[in-house]
Amino acid sequence: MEELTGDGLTLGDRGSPESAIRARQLRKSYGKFVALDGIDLDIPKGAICGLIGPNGAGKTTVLKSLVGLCDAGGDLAVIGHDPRLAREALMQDACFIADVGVLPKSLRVIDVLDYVDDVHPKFDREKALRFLSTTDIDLRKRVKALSKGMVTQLHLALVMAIDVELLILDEPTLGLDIIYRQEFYDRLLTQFYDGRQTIVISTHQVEEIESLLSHLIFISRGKIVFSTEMEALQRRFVEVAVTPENFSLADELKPIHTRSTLGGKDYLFETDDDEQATPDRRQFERLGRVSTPSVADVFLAKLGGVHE
Amino acid sequence: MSDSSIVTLAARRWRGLLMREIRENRSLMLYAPCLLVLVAILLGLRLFTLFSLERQTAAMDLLFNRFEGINALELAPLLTSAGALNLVFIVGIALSYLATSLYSDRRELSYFFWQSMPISDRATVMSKVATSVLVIPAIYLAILTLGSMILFISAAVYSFSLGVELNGLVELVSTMSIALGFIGLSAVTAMLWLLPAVGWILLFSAYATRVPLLWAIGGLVALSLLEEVVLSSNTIDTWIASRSSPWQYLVFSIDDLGARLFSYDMLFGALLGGILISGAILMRRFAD
Repeated sequence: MEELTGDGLTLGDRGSPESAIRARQLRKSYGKFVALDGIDLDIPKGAICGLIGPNGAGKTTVLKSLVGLCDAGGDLAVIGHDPRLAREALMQDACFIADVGVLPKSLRVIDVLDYVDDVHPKFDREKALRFLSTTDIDLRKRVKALSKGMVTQLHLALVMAIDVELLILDEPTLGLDIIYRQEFYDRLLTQFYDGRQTIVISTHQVEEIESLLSHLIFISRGKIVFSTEMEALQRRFVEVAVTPENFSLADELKPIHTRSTLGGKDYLFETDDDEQATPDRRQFERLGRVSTPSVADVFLAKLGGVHE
Repeated sequence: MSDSSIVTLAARRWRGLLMREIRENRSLMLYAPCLLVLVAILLGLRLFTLFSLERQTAAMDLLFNRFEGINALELAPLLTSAGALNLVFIVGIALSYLATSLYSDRRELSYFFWQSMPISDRATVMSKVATSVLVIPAIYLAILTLGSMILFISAAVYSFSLGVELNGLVELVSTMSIALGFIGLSAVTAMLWLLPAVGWILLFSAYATRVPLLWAIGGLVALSLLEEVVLSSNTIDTWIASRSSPWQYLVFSIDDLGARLFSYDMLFGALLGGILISGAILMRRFAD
């Protein structure tokens, strides 16, 4: 695991053949607006990587670049293909769900299945039908007549029936209620992911995917500001619930973020190095109750001032 | 992978692409022709009822007995010419479809779904060209044939009830079938003849941020104006005028079809159309 600071944050082994996604100096502008400002990425095969960032950070542009829907500059290899030159070949081994509303509304469910069956050589129609039989979706209904949750189930049925190496999800559960959101991720993990595939997910609802992730990337204003493996995150960050009498001691340890709570403050500390995490933790234990911060807490600490 | 598997995969892919166009454009491709044919039938019936019974009987007698013993191939061009208006409808439907095809693709969220499939921009654009040149004329012709059959059977039953003999029935059916075939071939010829227009409209449909048809027409007018001002000539206007009469698309025999398909004008138009369609493929790639 390699971690750098500044614009050149990377994940995984640089240039390794085991990289599912490798990008160098990825750039994209819309007029004067710089959407991607020289991003480097290395996402290993088999990773479930969360791409987290505020609105307008460039998450969707990154994901669109990965599947050739956006003509970004720089070097880019996605499961061995340059998406700008070989999108057709790439999409035989990759799937992309933009959000819940992207299935063509005027088509019937069976028409959508027929279409994918005709054009995708790796689509297993029977598998999709088996999945759909566990839902309330009527194959003769038009997509526009389905609820948002059902459209998501249909999309998931399509994706799970395609034998792909890479799945890219851009806010896949946006606008869904909590039951459908939970079901979406449960099925993704239990019925799709078997360790061979690489999944990249961008979402605002980071707390829901936290337990799934093996890797994490924070993006802001077109730059990667932080990236880590989830295991390293748990070693590297410490949250301490500090009581008022220990505030000054805690302040001396230079927290990266504080948050007022009932009767005290939560302090978030970043340890310098993974190896030193254990002695640091003992030091923190003297200040109050020590816990592992959530991804949302680290996100706020790293990007909290982004809207200011 | 064997050659037959490759062919099967390619055929299935094209079936998927063309069926997508039909399913997404049902109103324009299916309902509009049905409505046009229905209106034409109703209008014909209304005019027919304006005649007295004697005149109706005479008209039916003319229709079902006049063609007895006549060579259908000789008579078919007359009926084909009478059906020239259908070419205007087919071309109108095809050009309307093209103007919105790539544009709607980009404007709707479903763009991301279509683009998540392993289909290249070239295949997508070519499927739209094939739809306008082959699928729309084929669907229109099928509906026109069905409408003609209904009208023909109704007329035969009505004539029989009036006591009119149906001696020229076989010749009439043959003539109508040949004429419908010629109208179908004429429609495909018309769309091939109009390949430059197909490419030009697709070019704007692939990139314009709004009202692509207006941009396509505006672009053409601007080019024509520029030619007039800079070169003091009107080649573009003359060229467009030379390709816009439905009568020139009419095909009256297989020899006629061959002569039109391999004419210099047709091949030049196809070349220009091909260049513009390639431009549309590039435009679509960069219109993110």
